[in-house]
Amino acid sequence: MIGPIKFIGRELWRGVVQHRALTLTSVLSMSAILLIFLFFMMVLQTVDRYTGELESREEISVFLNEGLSKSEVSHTAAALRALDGVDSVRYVSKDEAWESFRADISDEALIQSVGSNPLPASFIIRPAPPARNADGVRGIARAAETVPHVEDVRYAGEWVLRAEQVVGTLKRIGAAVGLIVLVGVLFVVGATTRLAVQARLDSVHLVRSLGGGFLFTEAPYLVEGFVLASLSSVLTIAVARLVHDSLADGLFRLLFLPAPTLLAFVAVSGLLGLLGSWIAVATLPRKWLL
Amino acid sequence: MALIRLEHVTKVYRDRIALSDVTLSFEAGEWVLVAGPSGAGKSTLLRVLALAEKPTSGRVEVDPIAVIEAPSAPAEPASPPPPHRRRVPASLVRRHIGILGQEFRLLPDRNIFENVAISCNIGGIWDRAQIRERINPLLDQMGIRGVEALFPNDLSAGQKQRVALARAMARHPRILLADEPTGNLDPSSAAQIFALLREIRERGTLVVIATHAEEWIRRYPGRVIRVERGLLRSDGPEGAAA
Repeated sequence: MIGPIKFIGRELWRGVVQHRALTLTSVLSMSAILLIFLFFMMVLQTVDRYTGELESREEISVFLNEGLSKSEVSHTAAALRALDGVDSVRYVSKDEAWESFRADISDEALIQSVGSNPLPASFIIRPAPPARNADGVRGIARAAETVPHVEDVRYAGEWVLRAEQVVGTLKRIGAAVGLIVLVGVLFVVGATTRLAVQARLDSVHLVRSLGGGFLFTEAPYLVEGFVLASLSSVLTIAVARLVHDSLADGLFRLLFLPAPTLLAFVAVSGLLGLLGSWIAVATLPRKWLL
Repeated sequence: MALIRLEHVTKVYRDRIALSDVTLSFEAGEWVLVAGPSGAGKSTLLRVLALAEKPTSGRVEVDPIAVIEAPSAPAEPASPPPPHRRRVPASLVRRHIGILGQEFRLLPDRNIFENVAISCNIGGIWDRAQIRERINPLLDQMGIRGVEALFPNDLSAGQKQRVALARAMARHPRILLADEPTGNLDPSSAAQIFALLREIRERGTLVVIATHAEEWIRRYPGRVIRVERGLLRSDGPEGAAA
């Protein structure tokens, strides 16, 4: 078993050394394509994370009618707590709302111009984890609108919904980009392997004529495709890391992909290389040399 | 017992009949010259013998290891064939056949040792010492010992053909097929190659040589198969062997 492995290793080295320029071009081309895909995965992961954070901060403000008695307020609180998907309900009195407003608006002249406290009392509803999404928040808000003594309900659910739509769209674009990358890598690896095989076609025909089977006529090229594509993916990860680190202090921080995802990226790239080489080798004409 | 048997073999390329209803058999240790003008079907006959071409019709049997039939040939009887007649892939059978062509077909990016050793590798021999043990006597026999580290481009045409012959013999084949082996050689190198081929036959190998040069038939007589336009014209001893 060691003999064939050493043979394939030597053939791989021979191919790389003899076709240095072709190998370099191939690795760089594949890296360029893979880099687009890797960046897209990073953007997708980052947006997904931010959306998750938005959802976890999601709260619903329920504004009450003026002049409610304490018992009416407590009945309203109980009714809101009883709604499906509600985790907790916090009461914010008119005074608390006003203090909060004053703390947010530091311009004393503006506060003076408002005059007396116009803010209503309200309840802040925090959805339970399963309802911390656009549909859940919207459902709670609609239900809260039907509770007696409620004047108005405000929530940021639409933002969550839009963010989800953006992520959904990005995922669809990601799938399309993935498909393009797949075809691109197959094409680049296939074309490179084909060129490498064409350059040694007489040797391939000869070895086949001598009785050489898969190990001698196909395996070295398949391994070459796998190794070059894997190397390209490692190079891609290195470049992506550099770009990620250079953006570290910027406004939009891209999240780097976790190690298992990167390992899967290398493995899938290698398999794409293998597939591209296989297509190139399998479609070669067969010729007998005597 | 025949080493190779052809039964009613016909080979057609598009609309050209390269071989027509050829029935032949070859024994171990035979010296066979296939003669005829260019385009007569000599190379096609050798390719069919080498299992590189499937016949359009008819049957080729390399005993005891393989049977190659035309795709349209009737199926074997339902009972399994005896072990010595079981079907094996042509590529495996080819490993028991040495081939030598007019072009030397050496691998230009490998040195002479590697060019010969690849034949051993294909035969499943990977141990370098074992390969040397096989190759060195061959290089001695071919008179090219000492050139192992050189590359094909460093050798003369005669030396290249002797390397190709060493490669063909490295797996100790029972059959050696040579298609115009001296076509690119000067008379002196050509004579050396024929002498080597004769030596190989003396050791029990079936040697089949396709040639259009009558000179070699006169100098190295034996069984001569004459083909013309795909047809078998004659088959029997000629020259001094007649």
